[in-house]
Amino acid sequence: MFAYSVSRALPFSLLTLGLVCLSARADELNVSNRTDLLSQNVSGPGKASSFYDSGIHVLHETDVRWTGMAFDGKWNSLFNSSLRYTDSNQFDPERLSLQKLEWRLFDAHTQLNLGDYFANLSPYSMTKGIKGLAFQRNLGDDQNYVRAFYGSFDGQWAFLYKDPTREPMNTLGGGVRLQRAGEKFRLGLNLAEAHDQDGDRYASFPAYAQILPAVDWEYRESALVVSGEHAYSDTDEISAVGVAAVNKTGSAHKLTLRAALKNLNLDGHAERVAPDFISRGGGATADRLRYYLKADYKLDRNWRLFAIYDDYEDNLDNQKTATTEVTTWETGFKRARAFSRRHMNIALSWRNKQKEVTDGSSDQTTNRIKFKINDRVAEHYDWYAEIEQILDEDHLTASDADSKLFDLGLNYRRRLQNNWDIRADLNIGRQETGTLNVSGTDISDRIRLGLTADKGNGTVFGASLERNTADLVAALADNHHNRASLYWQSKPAWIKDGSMKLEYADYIHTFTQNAANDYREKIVKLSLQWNFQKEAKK
Amino acid sequence: MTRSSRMLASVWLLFITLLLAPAAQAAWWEFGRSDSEPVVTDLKFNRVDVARAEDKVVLTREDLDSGVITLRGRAEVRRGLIGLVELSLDGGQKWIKASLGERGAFTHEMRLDMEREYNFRIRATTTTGQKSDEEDHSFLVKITAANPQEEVRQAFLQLLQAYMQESRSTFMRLVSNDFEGNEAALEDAITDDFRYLDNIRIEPQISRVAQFDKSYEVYFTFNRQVQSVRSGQTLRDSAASTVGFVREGDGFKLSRLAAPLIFGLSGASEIATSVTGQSVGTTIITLDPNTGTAATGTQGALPGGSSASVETGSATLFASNNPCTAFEFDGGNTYPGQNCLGAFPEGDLRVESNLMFLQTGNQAQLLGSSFDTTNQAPASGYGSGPFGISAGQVYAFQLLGGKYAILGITSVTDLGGGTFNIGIRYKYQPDGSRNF
Repeated sequence: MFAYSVSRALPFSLLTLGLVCLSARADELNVSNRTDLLSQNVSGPGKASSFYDSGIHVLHETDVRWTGMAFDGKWNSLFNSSLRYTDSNQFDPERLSLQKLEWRLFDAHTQLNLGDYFANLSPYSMTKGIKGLAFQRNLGDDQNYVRAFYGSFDGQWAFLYKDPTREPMNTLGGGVRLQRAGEKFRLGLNLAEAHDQDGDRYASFPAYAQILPAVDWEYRESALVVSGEHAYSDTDEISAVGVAAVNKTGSAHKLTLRAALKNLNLDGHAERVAPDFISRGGGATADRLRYYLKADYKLDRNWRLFAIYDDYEDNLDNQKTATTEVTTWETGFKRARAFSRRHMNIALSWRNKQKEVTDGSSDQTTNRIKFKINDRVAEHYDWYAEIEQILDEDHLTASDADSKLFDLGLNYRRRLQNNWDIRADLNIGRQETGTLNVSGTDISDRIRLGLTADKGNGTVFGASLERNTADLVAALADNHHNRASLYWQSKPAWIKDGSMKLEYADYIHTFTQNAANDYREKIVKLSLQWNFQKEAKK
Repeated sequence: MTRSSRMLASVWLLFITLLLAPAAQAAWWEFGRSDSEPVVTDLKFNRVDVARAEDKVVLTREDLDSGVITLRGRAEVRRGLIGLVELSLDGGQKWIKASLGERGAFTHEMRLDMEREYNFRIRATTTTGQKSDEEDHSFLVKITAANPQEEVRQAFLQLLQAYMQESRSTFMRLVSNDFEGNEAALEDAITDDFRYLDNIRIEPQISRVAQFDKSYEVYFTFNRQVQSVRSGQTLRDSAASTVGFVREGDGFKLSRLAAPLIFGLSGASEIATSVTGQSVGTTIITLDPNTGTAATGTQGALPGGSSASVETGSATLFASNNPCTAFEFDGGNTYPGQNCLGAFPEGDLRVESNLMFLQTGNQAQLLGSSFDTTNQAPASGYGSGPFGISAGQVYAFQLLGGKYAILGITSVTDLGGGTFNIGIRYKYQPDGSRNF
């Protein structure tokens, strides 16, 4: 409770500190504001499907950044905050919210952070934004240091100072890291801690308390880089309120190889994460044994070959009744300057993926062939075409499904004599999708045309038209969607260091066989952005 | 020794061999080139590693040291000595000599104009006049005045745009080579998204962009709407999530995804490496890659989404008047030889002849759907039984601790004398959601 009360008082303490610092000698004060005024109109019998909030709405976001010296010029100081105001739940359920609050005090060797801080130990142990206190002391240079931090994992400041009922979980945590590094190596020792606080908000989900030590290292030798990380988690899991905690322990290991040889690039890694490895602040896919190797061979300036092998499985402790194994092979080539054309590139690849469950409940294979070609024609035109065929096979039911994807694009770009940069993009696509054990093919078509004219001084005109149609196997599900949009953007002199943008968009959603789902969205948006910069004096 | 242990041991042996290989000479990996041809093996602009750069490298003010770029690297040759290293900023028209140190190490300091592209090349020459291939390290270099945090925002919006336009090749070009999840699974999941979801619309609200070293984390909330190709149904969700970016080559690339996933909905267990805490318990859109079915589920506390963490299996339970067999969903464990009288110490259910009894605190209900098409357990309508069982039945379970399971009775074989063999299939959702 004490820690929680302190965390709720934190933002106001920071604001006070910020105001105190502003009274000191400062180098620079930056204030920027973005204001959006929107008129959103949704109509039609199916309008409940739209996520737009009908009516006229406003969204303000203001960023304040102050840098200067503090404590008689012995330290550099940085203060950052961001406030948002809106009258629509579409943008934020809070009317007025604090998005960012950060104060940093630093010199050549030491850094103190208060407020928003990106807590970084190692990938398995902690890489997470927190709200709290952090300290780093360099031991020689910035690659050798000791770092420590502690705080709340809350994603929003509102969860700290308002304690709203929509907060899913209250988690506190921290960590320590010692890094030593030289020209050829790096070694990191990490210790992370995290615990969920008692409460009733996690009634449907487990609560956790854990300690997680980890070691990460890297060795570089010429064109070879080898690195790894090894972590161990000791976690108490409380599955529901009133249920006794269950202790779970697990380890995670990863080895990575990267070799940049003359003509051959190799990337490989091996990873094993135990089923009971849990990391509240870091990241890992639990219950996974994975091997991955990619080889990229450059035959010459024009030809490149590649091959990939990827194999992973779960059920490492035989805790499940069956194991899922997935093995993927892929190989292909890329040809630059094809047919003696300077800008023509061709790529072709084949991928085979096999997924099998050892209890015989699933045995599937997917083969995919992908072809892509692109070129430039007559100085101003670029085009590309992409074709893909996917064949899925289910060996248990002896069924298969065929899918095809087609994509064609044409781009035009030209700079006119009066400095206008003109661009036009046309994209046409079709997708024919088959699904295993389902008869019939779903067909989706897409066509999009975009135009922009950029003066280069901040004045831009843009327009786009798009149509998507879907002819689906599912009953009464055929539909098409039309979209049109226009915008104008400018940097008028009366908005110092700012810009304005006016946009209009019209989206029509039609459900061919079920008109009760039809709806239309019209949006008009005016955005204003301005910046203010001043050297603040005492 | 299991197969996986042997493979892991082989990998360790390979790494140890590489580490022990002498560095300056006998570089066994340098096959494919002559002994006297030099090669540039290391190349950095200040702290930015450009040894693998191909087309373009973009640097920001923060990559400079007081406005200066120090080029550092190493050139090596198997037989002979490196005598000269030169760089060019105009595609090879004019060459500048770098300072050469011991064992082929070189440096050079330079100041480049902002927002101007330089055609960078580098070459090493041995004392016998043999030159390295300039094309090996030939790319454009530019220092941009743009705020990196603003560039990260733009990279995120570009990624969203490519996703909503269902352009997989454009999307994957914006994914880092160092993507922390399974990159191949991400591409497969994006393919499935485009196959089974239509009319994808996402409106993000970026809360902040946090930077640490070369990594950037974007915190955002989003409104999303998609249409299921399989059912034609329109689905919506709103949640908060985070994505990570790193600078690579000519811009910022996606390096990390947290759950709830904004991209690759069917691959949560392979792609998401963490969960955005404030979205735990939030309703999110899920996609089953096996059936192509899109539905809504609940974001769990651990990566793996609400459907990808489902455990499945089958078993045969021997049922008599006494003893009984108990069954536990978590792990699919069976407990034969239990005393049919009174409470049973283990398991979620117990079969006794052709009746099913539930553990105290568990509840179940008979469903009208088939086992394979049941993707969600009902929110209510459960009872404590007992239940008479017959082949073809499908039950939904609401377990003590807030978990859900689906049980299918595949066969009931009468062995005579009131004894039966009950064949079952099951799905168990450990994350507390009702989605399978």
